[in-house]
Amino acid sequence: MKQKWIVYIGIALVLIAGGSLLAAKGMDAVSQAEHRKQGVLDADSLTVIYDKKPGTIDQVNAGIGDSVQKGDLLFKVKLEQGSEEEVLSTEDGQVTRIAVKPGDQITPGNPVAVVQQTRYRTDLFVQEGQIHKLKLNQSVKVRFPYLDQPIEVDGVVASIAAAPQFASLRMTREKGQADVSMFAVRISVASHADLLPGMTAEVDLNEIAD
Amino acid sequence: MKSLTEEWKYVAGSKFLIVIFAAPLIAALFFGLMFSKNQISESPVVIIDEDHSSYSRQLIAKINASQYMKVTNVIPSRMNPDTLLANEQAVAVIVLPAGLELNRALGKSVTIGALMDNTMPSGLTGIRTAIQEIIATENMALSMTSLAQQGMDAEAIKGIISPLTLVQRMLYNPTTSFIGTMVIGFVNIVVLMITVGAAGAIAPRLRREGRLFANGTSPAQLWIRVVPYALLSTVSLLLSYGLLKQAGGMRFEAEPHLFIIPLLLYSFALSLLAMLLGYTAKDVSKAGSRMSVLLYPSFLVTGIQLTPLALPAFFQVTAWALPMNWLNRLIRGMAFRNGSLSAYSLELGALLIIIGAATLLIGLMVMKEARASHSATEQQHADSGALRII
Repeated sequence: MKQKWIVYIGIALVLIAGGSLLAAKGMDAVSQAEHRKQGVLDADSLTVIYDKKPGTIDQVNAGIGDSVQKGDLLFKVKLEQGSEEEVLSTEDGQVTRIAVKPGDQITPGNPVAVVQQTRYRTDLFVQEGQIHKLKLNQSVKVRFPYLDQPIEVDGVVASIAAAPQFASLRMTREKGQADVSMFAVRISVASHADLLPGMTAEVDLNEIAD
Repeated sequence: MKSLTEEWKYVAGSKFLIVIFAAPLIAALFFGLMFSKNQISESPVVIIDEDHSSYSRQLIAKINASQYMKVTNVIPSRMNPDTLLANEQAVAVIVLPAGLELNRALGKSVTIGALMDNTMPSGLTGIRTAIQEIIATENMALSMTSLAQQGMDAEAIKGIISPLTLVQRMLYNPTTSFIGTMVIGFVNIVVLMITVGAAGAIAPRLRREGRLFANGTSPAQLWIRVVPYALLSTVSLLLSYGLLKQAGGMRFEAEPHLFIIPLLLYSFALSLLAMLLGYTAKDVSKAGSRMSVLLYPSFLVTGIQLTPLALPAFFQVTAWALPMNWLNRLIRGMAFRNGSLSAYSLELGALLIIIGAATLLIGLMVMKEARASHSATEQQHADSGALRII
């Protein structure tokens, strides 16, 4: 009989202890998401500007979406004197806009095309307490969680710097999070057919071994 | 005339005389204290600062200085507002976009986002006005200063467009539909009434029938009797939520098979608490009247009509002992805000503690009564034995 009592009381105590443990140690949604850093995918784009003598566009060699290498021919321009000039790409990348068509008159200073660099980047803001996980040139997995079919690509830590104005932020002491220094980490992301600038990139710091 | 005198005399000697004066006074004091705050000040808000500039910091300081809002967290990078609102640690998320300071300096228009949790609409009234006020003041200050610097007179300044614009989104219950607040609240209260009425009457009923220790003195024998009530309540709640979703258009994002877990914990916590409260009642009707201890607070302080934020801290803490408080939080969190079960360990833990504590106390009460009845029977045996010897 006594044994039954002990078992009953024991189960009750286990329930209370388990509940307390769950309530005290369990993580809410914000704490669970804290190690997942999100940023916006961005790409540098370069506007190609015509810098030679006035003339007429003779030939357009590149189309929107074409991949170009540095030094590739973009346009041929016929100068007023009869000679020809070439407009070359100054960066590796993808042509995203062409501003002229054959027969257009152009003068120095006219933008003629936009070349978007093939490497993407994203800036993440990481707290002092987590920054030791990231080292320069370290490779990290970058996820795109909000796509219909989430994809994962390789990224490299390109730079780590104290976020200048944010570093001294003293806003609220409630959580202690805003009080610490923040570091801006730039992750460089390899180009991928499904990626577009403006997408939300995510790096999970928990996946990175110390 | 004689009967009137008779009745006056009866009333003068009865409890009615005290109760009719004391009860309203207590109610006035209790509810007066409960609703003493009148308005919600310092509602918790979270800010996503994507600009990281000194101007965004100034703006955060201004938001924090408002008497209606308290900035509890500043997030430096993007985060899903669903995550930030999931556990009711904030009622609104304000998003300061990248380029805020730059665009302001260039005189371009900037849009600030305010995403608000409308699962308890009474909690948002102050915030909406407060954010509007801050933006309006900022705009006035910005345009007045810059134009005055250019030598424009005050009359001309009035007609200039404001650079900051605010876009507000009411999340989860954008139309403030009563289905998601009042209706589901009443449904829960009806189920609570019926469940506690039945589960609370178990012990008095068995005692009256003389069957309290019919299957042995172990408290587990009594405990196990709440199982049918808890299971049937769970099924009934799930069915009524399904009906509200299908017929009433209520938002219910959680997977039903996952939501059974919190519902089961809730039903067990509720039934055991009712059994504990009703245990010492003399008869079934006394047990029924004791259940108002669970019913009234469950209705008032768990966020059905009024957000708990509007109540003084004392009443918010009182709500912790009520299973309904945690059920309502889980409904708002999992069903309305689509939070995952793993984010609600606090709520599940609290229900487990209630179950454990009720189990323990029921056990102790059964133990006490079992001992008393045991010694009474021994005494009886001894008495009868003694009689026989004589």
